Amino acid sequence: VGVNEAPVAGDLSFVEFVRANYLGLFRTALLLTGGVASAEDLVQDTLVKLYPSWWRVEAADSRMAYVRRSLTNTFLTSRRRSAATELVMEMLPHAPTGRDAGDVVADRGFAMQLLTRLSQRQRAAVVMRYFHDMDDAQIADALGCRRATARSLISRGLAAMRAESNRMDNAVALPGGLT
Amino acid sequence: MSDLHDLEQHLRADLAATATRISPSPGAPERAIERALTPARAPRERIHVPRWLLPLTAAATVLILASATVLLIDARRTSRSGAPPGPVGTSPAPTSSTSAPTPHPTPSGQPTLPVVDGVHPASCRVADPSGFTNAFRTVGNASPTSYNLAGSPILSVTSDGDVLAGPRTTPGRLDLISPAGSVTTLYKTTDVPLELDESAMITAAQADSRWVEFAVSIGNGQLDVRRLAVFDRASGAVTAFRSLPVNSPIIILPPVLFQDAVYWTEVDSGGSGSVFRYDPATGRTDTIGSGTLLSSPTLIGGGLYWQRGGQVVTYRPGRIPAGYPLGGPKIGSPVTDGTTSVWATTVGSPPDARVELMLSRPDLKAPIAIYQTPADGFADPRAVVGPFVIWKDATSLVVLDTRTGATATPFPASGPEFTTAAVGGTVLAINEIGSKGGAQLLLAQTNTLPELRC
Repeated sequence: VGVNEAPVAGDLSFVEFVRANYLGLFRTALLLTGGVASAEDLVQDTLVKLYPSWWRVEAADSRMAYVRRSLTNTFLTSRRRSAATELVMEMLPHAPTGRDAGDVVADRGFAMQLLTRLSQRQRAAVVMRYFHDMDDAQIADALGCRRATARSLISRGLAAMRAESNRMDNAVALPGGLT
Repeated sequence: MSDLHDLEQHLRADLAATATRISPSPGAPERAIERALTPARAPRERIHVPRWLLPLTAAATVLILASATVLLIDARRTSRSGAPPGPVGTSPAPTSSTSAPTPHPTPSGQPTLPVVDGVHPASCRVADPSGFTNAFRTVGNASPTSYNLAGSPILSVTSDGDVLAGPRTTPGRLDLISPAGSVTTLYKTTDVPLELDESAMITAAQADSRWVEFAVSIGNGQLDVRRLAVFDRASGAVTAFRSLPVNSPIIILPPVLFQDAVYWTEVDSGGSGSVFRYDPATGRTDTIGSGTLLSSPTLIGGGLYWQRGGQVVTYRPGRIPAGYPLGGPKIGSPVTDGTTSVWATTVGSPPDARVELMLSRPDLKAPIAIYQTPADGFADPRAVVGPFVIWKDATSLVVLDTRTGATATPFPASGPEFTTAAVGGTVLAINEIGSKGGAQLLLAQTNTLPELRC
């Protein structure tokens, strides 16, 4: 018979953190995965992985940064394991018409659709830069790479989004010099 | 709008707008919490077996456990010495050194730490720690024919060296085991009203010279603390001073015994609640604190503290070990023998985060790092005995002799559930998986522990 001991301080800290920060983690996961259910799964998997050593999170300078970094790593790892899995978009695909590229990107949801066409690391880097406003050093730290690599991931990610946008709407010409 | 800057700005706006427009499904945070907490607790799903099958399943369980245990013990003994030795406790007297001819190198990935003020961090591993192992003698589970699946899980060790144990039997028991090995049952849960399929066990206990406080956990599969009680060592009387219905939403956190009174915290599922003090001499209960995000009362350096809303509350100040991060984000008791204290901290960040064990002594100016795990490793300090520091890795207890830097795993491959160690007075108590199942209890006099040397 297993004995369930009463929650200790770590449990309470964990519960409090999740309730206070779930939405923020979900939003990051949503941009990474492109779907509500898969985002919830990603957040859940990350928290399940972190909980046994929650004291490490508590000891970090920024608990949110630590968890977000772990979420990104979980995303990258899980996607590598199921690389053949098609991303499922839970929003209707956008059908862009001949408009300025900036307007197209600004159109709600289209950027996210383009995000799902990027590699996992490119997607993570773009989300960190343009959603979390992280600088090169922070992104490099989170992804475990050099700053130059982080910059390259973002640059190539933007280029890939531009190419994908062109493919989806031949009439649209994204601004040059993005690569 | 046709330059990179504009595109980036629109990208920022779009990602933010998209992410904030879509919400998670109702209850998603609670589901995530539930799933994270569940693996650390008892399984929620139970297999219902018809009553007529119970005798057969019990017999099958015993046979399976016996077979597995025999294999485990054989493998362990073979790995220790190459041939099955005699029973623990009947082996030759400990030698002054358990050194092996060829020292094992520090495990790969473990950094080298400097020797400071004569304190040697972990630097090598003793190949054959049988001299250390043989300093222990087993208590209970000695019958060659009967199986004791409950064993004697250590709850605490008193300053007199008596072990308080909570065997997982039906009914549950609170046993006091003397350094000589005699067992006195202080309490049985026979007075706890139970529904069908519910059980009651003792899951926490501490004692001083007069009182033994203990927590009774009750439930069906998943047990929660539902009763707090004291045993009067003078009269033998048991007084339950706090009881909750099994289905109560209130959570009772583990109590502590401090200066002849019992202190504990009760919270709701959101972490809000109160800290209480019960005086067994007068029968009076006082509320001594309240708020949100309350932790258990915690003893540190002879003082009593708890955490409220991320801040440490000092109820009675103690002598905090030098360098101990009391004001840090997490409050917890360092293990101590009264002189030396050891606690765990974290260095680095993922994926290279490591656990570092810090040692503090009054004669040291600052805490000293004595062990650092490989990346993503695990080390949970359990006991300090003079020069020995004992921690638990993923499955086993590891002993470091800070005089030499030698480490040993005297009881390898125990398993995560029961493995623990505790010190009280001159007694070091250890749990490992018993030869008959359950938590095997081993006791050693601390002055008989031999020096470890590679």
